[in-house]
Amino acid sequence: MRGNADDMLTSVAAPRDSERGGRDSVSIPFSAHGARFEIEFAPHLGLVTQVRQFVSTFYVQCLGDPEASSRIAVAAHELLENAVKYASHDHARIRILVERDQDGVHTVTIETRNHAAGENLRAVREALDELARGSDAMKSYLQMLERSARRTSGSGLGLGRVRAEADMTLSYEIRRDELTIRAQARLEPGAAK
Amino acid sequence: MTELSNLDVDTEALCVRASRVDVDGIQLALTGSAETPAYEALMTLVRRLQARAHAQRPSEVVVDLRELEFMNSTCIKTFVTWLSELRDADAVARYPVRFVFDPSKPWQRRTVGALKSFAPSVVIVAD
Repeated sequence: MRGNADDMLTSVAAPRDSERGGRDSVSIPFSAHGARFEIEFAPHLGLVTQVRQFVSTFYVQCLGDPEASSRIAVAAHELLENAVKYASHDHARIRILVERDQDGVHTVTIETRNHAAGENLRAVREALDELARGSDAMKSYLQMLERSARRTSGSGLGLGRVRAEADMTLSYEIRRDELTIRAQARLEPGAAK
Repeated sequence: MTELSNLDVDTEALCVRASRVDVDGIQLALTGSAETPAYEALMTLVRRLQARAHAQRPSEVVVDLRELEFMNSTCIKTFVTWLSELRDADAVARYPVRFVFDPSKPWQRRTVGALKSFAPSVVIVAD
């Protein structure tokens, strides 16, 4: 795990608060550099849960906003699980960055990067292009729910959930067999401290 | 063993306990985290629940999520499949599904809200 000094301090403190169910949590000072962490890993489903739990605790302490932290945790989980499930190499990465501008607006960026087989790259491209065409995130998600009910394998819901439930915009890059998916959201001033 | 014990789920991360509510209602209380390893067990639960409801329609099914830490999209699909079948069934075969959630867990409000939008004729939401 790579990050600045604040990140490392928080990564030690987070489990204790997590064990207390997030109550009585200690506010983490927000670094001028933002609050970020990044891990590179061999894809494994068990890691997804651990990252979500850490992210949830870390950002609720940084931002003081359970709603925003929950959105980040949901998006991190779904994107990371996709990266793990569809990785074709034993190496993937997730990076989460929360930045604050001079007006106090926070921007959250979650980025996953992994290698994937051609059929999976095509499926991701189609899903993200479809989401980009739909102007109403919830309407697009409800259409995905309809299709999901008839699917025999996979849910096909993860990306739609990130957009509709985590309320984040999605973009992607494909270079050869390397896929990068980026989810972003702006948090309104006052929503975080 | 109770009459509803075949609706119980015990996986490493997820526990579901089925119990009676009122005379002929069923409550499913979920504890832990519903993630991909629990998918098959949840689908089995839904199939058994549907078979039971086909034989004897419950007055309602209560899904209590308050002790659930998280549910991923794979497990959301099990509820979507169930609600889709229920929503599209004949009126005499339908029964209401009431989701109880914890307002302090924001993901629960959003996920349950999406399920309500998906199947408004059968989903009831309570906190």
